[in-house]
Amino acid sequence: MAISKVHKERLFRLSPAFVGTLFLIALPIFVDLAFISLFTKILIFGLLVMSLDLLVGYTGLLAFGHAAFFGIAAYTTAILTRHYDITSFWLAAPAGVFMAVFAACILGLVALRVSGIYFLLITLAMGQLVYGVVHTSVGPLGKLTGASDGIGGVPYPEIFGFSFVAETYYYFALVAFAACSLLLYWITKSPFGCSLQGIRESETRARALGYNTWLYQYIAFMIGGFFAGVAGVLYIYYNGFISPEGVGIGASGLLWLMLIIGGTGTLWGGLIGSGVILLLQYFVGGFTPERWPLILGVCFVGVIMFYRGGILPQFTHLWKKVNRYGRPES
Amino acid sequence: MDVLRVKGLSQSYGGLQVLNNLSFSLETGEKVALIGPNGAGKTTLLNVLSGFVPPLSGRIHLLDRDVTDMPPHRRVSLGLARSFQINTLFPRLSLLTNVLLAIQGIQPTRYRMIRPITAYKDNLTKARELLDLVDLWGERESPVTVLGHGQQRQVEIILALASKPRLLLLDEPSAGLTSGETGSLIQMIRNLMGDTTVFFCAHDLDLVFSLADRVIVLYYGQTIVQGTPREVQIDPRVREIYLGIEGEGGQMPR
Repeated sequence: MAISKVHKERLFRLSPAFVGTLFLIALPIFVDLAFISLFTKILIFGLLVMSLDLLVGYTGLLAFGHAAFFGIAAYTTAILTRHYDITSFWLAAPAGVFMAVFAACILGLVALRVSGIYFLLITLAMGQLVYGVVHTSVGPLGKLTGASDGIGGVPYPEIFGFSFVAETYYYFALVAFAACSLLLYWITKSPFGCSLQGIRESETRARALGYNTWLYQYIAFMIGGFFAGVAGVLYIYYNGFISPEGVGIGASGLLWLMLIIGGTGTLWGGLIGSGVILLLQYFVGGFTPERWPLILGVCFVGVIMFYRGGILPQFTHLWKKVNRYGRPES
Repeated sequence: MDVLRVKGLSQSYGGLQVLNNLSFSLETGEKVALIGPNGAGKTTLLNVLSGFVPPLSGRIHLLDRDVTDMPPHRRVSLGLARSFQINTLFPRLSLLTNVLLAIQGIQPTRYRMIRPITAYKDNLTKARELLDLVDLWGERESPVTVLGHGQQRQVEIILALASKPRLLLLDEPSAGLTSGETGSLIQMIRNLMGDTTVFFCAHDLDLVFSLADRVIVLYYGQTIVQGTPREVQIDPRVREIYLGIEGEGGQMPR
């Protein structure tokens, strides 16, 4: 009797992170290829939204051009692979991430001259600038990027002689996601990450305590660019194809939707938001593609009206309730 | 040695001259009060001294270094700290995180991206010492917004003290406190300051007369009187500013 009670207690105390990890590891056993592919995409966008959350939710920077860094990395890797015959993962992938960070370095210098809503507008403009660059059909650049057609034909990577296919690439994406999300998680808990949250809460107080708030925001912007770049490289190897639509304001807006639906300032909410939107798109959007934007809009309004903080805080609340249930009174 | 030397400081907002060719200095360990009617330029002076507002003209020397063009965070690393008239804490962060952020503000640790902020044991010990001073260690996990206004005022000062400053600027430390709360605040400041130079502005004359060694009276951006609290109290010009033309009734509060 006593043993079963302890057992029950422990079962209920499983953390959501543990259950989630188990679910993601075991997933390919139960589902077909289409689903594996869908979850690969969820992981990639999850990482991308989490990197956006570091800027929006933790630092208080309203970055609205985040898809640009994702796109720059994806395009760089695609162009190197397709046009320069650099098929080695160890060259093409880091080059993509490097270009994303480099772009964040330069664009951050300009964007961080202003704050608040002006920062939002200038990052939006930068996103459109990158969109314009990859969309242009004139000159040598048009030949490299494929202009409005985009660039495709990037195969799954080959690492240490192992050629990935859809199923194994899922695990590759999962490992990359796990590593990056843990890094992000540690950063948010670290002295640096807490300082970012302090700057979000009161920049005046942070400056009065000795913080160079500009430098913090700049470093955060580059970290955001780095993880967005990793997501971009993961995406191009997953999808094989990227077009200007994946870079522009529509893509950045979708990331914001995922972030708000998942919950800003929660980090893991990014994965939840990505999962909810992409699963909905798969089921409902596949059912009535022409109504998909309408359904997306209704979901967004619903979350804003009833779950202001996003889904993840609601979920944690519920989990705690379940956790309390069946536990001996103390 | 002078901790702070200010020479010919001027600042204006549009056509309004807020600070008018202001010069004074603060000696080590001095507790100096800055008083004056509303709009005299007290908060502006503190903002200029801490680097949040650049002066139009004049020089500021902090510990013999010219800091006139230095941003706020570099002045902090030289030993300056300030509090705010309106509570300026990190509202949604826990009390402990507030204090830890204040402690690491001048340490290289503040850029570390490994290990949680609470894993830095030295800082945790310091945070406990600071929070024990105001009996708030038990509340460390709550967000600061759940604390009462009086407790938040205390935290405001604790955060400024965390960097062990040489010069502490307090902007209306007793703003919005009841007289009982002000009494315990005075006690706390007395116990904590030791040989820190404190420059504070206040409307509350209890606070001024129980803490200050010297009082500077600011009126339309100029120092009209400087002296011990007693001297200032009986000065006819101060009476005039605070109470109107002498002889028309009223008395300077004691």
